[in-house]
Amino acid sequence: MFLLLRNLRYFRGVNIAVVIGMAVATAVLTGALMVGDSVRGSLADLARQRLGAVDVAMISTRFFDQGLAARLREGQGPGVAAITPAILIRGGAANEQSNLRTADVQIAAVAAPAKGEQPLATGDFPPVRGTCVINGELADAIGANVGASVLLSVPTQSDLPRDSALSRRSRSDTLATLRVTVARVERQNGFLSLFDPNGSQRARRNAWVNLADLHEMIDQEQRVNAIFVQLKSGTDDRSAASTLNDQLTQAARLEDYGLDIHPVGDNEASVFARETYIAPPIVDAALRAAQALHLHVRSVSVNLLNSVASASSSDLKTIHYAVASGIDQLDQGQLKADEIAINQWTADQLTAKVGDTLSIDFYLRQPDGNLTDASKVLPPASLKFTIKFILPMEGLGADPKLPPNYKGLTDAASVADWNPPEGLNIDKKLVTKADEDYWQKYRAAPKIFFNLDTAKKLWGGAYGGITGVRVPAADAQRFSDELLRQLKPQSLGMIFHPIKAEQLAAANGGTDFSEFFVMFSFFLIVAAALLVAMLFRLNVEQRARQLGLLGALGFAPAKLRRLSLAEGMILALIGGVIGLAGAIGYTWLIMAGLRTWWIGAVGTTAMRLYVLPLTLAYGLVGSLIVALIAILWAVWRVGKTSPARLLAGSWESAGATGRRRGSIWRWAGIALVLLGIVIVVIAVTGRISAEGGFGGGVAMLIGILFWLGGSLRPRRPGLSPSLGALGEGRGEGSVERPSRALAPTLALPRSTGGGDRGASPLVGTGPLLRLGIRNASRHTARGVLAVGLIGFAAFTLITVAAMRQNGVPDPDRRDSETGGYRLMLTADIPLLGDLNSVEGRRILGVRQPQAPAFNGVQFTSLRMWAGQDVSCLNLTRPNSPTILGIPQQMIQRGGFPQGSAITPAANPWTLLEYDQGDSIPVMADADTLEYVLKLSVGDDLPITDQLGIKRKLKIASTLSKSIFQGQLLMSDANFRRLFPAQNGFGMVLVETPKGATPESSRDLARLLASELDDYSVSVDTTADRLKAYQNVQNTYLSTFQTLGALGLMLGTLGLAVVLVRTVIERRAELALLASMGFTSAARVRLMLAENAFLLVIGLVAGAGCALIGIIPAVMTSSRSINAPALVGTLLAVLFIGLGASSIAVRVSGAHVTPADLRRE
Amino acid sequence: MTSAITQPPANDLNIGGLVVTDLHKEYPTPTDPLVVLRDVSFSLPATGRLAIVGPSGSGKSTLLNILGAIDLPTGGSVTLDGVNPFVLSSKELAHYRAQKIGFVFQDHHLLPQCTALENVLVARLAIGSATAEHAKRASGLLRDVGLEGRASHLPAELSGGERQRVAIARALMNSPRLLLCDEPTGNLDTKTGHAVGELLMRLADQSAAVLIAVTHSPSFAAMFPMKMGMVDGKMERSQETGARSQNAEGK
Repeated sequence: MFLLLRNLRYFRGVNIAVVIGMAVATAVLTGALMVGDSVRGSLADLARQRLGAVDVAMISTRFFDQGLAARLREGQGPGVAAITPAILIRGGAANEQSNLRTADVQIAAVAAPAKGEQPLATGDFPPVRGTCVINGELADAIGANVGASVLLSVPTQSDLPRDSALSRRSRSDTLATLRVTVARVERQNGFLSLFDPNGSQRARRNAWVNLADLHEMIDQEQRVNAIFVQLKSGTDDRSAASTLNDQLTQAARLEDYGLDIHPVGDNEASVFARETYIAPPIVDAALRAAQALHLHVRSVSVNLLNSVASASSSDLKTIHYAVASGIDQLDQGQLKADEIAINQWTADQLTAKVGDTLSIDFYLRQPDGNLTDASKVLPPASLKFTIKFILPMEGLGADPKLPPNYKGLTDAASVADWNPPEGLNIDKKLVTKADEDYWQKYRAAPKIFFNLDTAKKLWGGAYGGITGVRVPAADAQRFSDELLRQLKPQSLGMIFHPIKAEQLAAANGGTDFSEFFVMFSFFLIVAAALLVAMLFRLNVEQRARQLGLLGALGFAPAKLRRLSLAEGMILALIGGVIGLAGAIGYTWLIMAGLRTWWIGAVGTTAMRLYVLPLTLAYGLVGSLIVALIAILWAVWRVGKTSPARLLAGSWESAGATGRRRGSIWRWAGIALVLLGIVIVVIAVTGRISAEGGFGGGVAMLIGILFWLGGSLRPRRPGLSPSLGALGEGRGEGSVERPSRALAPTLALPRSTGGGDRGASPLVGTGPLLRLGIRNASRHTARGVLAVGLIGFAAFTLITVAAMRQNGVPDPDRRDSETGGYRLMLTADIPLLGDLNSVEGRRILGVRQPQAPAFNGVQFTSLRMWAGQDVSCLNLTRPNSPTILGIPQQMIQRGGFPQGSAITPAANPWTLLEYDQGDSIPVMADADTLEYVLKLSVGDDLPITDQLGIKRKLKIASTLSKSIFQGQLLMSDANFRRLFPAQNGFGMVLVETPKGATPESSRDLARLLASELDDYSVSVDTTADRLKAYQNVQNTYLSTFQTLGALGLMLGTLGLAVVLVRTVIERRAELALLASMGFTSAARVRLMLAENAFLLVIGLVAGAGCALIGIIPAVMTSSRSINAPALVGTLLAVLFIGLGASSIAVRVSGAHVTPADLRRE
Repeated sequence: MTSAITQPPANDLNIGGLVVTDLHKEYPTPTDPLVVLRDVSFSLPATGRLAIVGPSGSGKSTLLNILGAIDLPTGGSVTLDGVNPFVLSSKELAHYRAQKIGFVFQDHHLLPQCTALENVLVARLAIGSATAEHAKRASGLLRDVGLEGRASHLPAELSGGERQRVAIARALMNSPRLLLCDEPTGNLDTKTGHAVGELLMRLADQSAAVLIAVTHSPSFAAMFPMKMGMVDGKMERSQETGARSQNAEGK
């Protein structure tokens, strides 16, 4: 032990260097782990601030009675502190003074706290009528301050699915606006400024208004779509949410589901839905209720027919605009699929009788939003029916209460007064007096009856098409009670979620910054570890004679190794503990970087330092393991070398077959270089990903290091080195030369025997330089290590620079990242018209629907389920991703750079239409999939659809770095199945005519933005959208580059350390040179030559391999390299390296005098 | 008259001592192997004294390294008190070196970080931990070499002769059977060298060890009863000094 302590103290100079190296390695490694903790901790902080006191929330796509909150409050358990009804809607905002507008605003309102409950925010909140509280993001976006008048626009809540034929889709029908004065701008991080149920770290734009104002604005009196719940401290969020869901089932009433049962006719009552069409889960519940009560119920599906014609009569007779109904059963009996019943009035008008055939026509809503005649898209046979019954003009045959209320139609005084929805053309010239008489007498009583399944098939759509369920009037109350029992709020998307626990979990499970920073810091960690290894090895080597003496004294090799190891580990531990303090500083610096220079990557300034003791422990243990490996490498030779050689100052064991081993290393190196070239060539041909080329470059670089290791190997390792190149050996037969492979480079004659010992390097020009280069071969490991450090750092800098994406893809090419689309438009309020048609543009309220700017422009409208952003812009783990519905023609069109696919396909888009069993096939961006969703092609992603049904999305294929990095893509058909109420289009892609100039694209973008401003649209060029994603990735790369450059600096430092050590080792040699009359400058040049040789080899090898490795990536994508900056960096490294070395040599060795010879 | 020593007398093996048989050592080179020792054989009894002289590069130090078991021969054998160290495992070999061999180098090879006393005690650490008894013995040895007052001095604070005397004390710490000295007076002036030589002879007598020294110094060599010369890796019998009993035999 005393020896150990003496060693630590006596060799403190080099020991301090080892400790510093270890401290750096620990700081970087632990710091990388702590960055992850800090990001996670900061995101969790943000989640807490974002949700404030809200622990559990129900946010539904349906509106329900606000009184539900009060009923829940009555039955609340002991853990609930407050229950607050609220409305959350996405919309747009405009500052009326400045005319600045912005989209993607969360417009929200909450009820005032009930007695004894705490408000969700302090101050004047909720805002009084006519005012609003906005957050800093919104205030900045529209330039609004306190007192500003702001116009908010939101979608109205339609009573009809917007995709149904009779829905009202015009601008005035779909948009509502509210003018409010800004009462407060909230900039402090907290509930009001950050609230976001989707939980991204990027603060969204929030506007809080008065609940009554919002009720009026969207025409949903006393109805809300969200309930926030505050829990008492110590209550478990998840079990509270579960209890609330149970209570919800108990507390909900039919009106909460938008249902109403009232008598219709003499003997029946009917269930009607506020949304006109009764949602399929409610219909199912009604049928279950009827079954439970053994009741006979009849479902009804009503629609308006444009025409009904008698096809069998030679005298063609037609009636127009007849209300029709599908029905389970008529009193007269069951209708088959191709049979109909008509009332007597219709039979009279058409002079039709039982057995005659009638053909019908009606409007159908196409997937693109346009209305078309069914006869134009359906087979004629499917529109022909045989008359089975003629109903008398009583009961069902003349039942005006069969249809639900269609605004503007069923409530009109006469047919002439009909106010049909825009796009639904009613030719009033076709309306006869008989029609008007019928209307006066029977109102909207259906004239024609279909088999229910037939009706559903014809016009049912994704929302099922059921408009009423009829029950016997006497059993209405029983049925109502049973229906309530059968209804599950969860199946209608009314679910309480432990939102805070979920967002805290998402903060933990998102983008793993530990992983990124361990990866980013990889070369820095490796450089620090190699530095530790090198310093410790130098430390051990320096004491060769001492270890030789201990060996001669009888210390067993294992004991010597243990001694060295113990010494190394004590130094490592000291360095490690110091490094932990460094790690805290390093992490603080990185977090400061993320708040400032690299804010593009995280998008929030809320990042702060978190220190977790467990992470410090992991970091220390990890660093000690790295140090142990490095030190074992340094001490393994202790005991392998005979004491006699150690005493002579040599580490080489006698009889080692250096030449043979050198040859093996060389050949292995050549094989690796060839392998690397093959990989790059394969990557160029596209058989493997372009990034595979980087792997080829790494293989080549490792190959070069192997080759160098073999070539720098001394040829006669059995003999001691001492003065080496000068040939003035202290021991017998001192001969050291690089092996044959390097001989030509070094211009060494290959003559045998001792005649060339030391003399040859001095022959010819630049003898000092060549002597220096030859010296590099004296310590193979040292040299290769130094070259490796520099080489890998240069490699990293260049490949990272190559991964930067700055190129602008050709916007007209379908296979580019823009897919050939110039513009993309996103609308918070879904667009219900087709921009391709003048009619569609008119429906959307475009003031100049025939503007020349629309000529030749192709619009592709996509439905959007606005969930969470799944791009790299979101650091948390998304559990409800944003989904786009891809229309059939876009699937056929194809385009965009494709990644991998579950099965090979000529057009991978068509995989979206393949049946994947229970799973819905989807596409995703490759990077999104890997880094954000952490999934692979073929994996399933569970989601809950709009009807509350659990679904699995199967990743069928990927796109590479396209404009769709924030969404998942599924076929429009599947989208409509999963999200039947998500009507209209949230995104529109725009193809301009070939050869359109960027200016004309910008003009079109401006036109769209201004014409559709009420829909809260944002119109970007696809290039700009890509740039936003690229900026984030480039920010990550900048981080990587900065840390890579630090690694390079550490490598350079390592090189300087090697040099200092070498100078110290060769003091005798330098003193001898001094005694022979070499000037100080000449001696410095000699020492520098060796260093320059290693530095240049490292830079050239690293840069060369990187440049070859990036060829596939540069060829296949829009990557570009900033060549001058890169060359500048490498040259700077070269000069800094040489400068540092020069200083190191001058400080450590240039001042030796001949007198130093005596001291040796 | 000189003659090469090649064959040891068989009877000496029974009474202990050193027997060297056909010792050969060569190093590989790109051309022919470099032969450093050529079939050296000789034997010494249990308290034998031998001085080896010869020009630089003749193989003297290599022979001494092999005798001290800190280098391996290419061929031949060495036995000390009937033990051939080169068949031992590396652990046993280390133990052998610690207990049987005492080495005094021309460069004293003192640990610069340790005091004179600690440098002597270091030899004991090769066997196990050092006790107060061992410290007492180390102090006694330092007294024997005349460095009683220098025990706590670091090597840097000692003169060349003093350092060499610490090295001698260290070599004797574990009471070795074979004391090997590689030019122990080479770096010392005549007077100091003579004193160190005297000391070595006296201490070797006290510890009843075999003493072999390599030297260029005629005066130091003259203190030995037997002197052998080495030329180009071969050992040749030099004249016997007559100073002591002539007990080395060879051929």
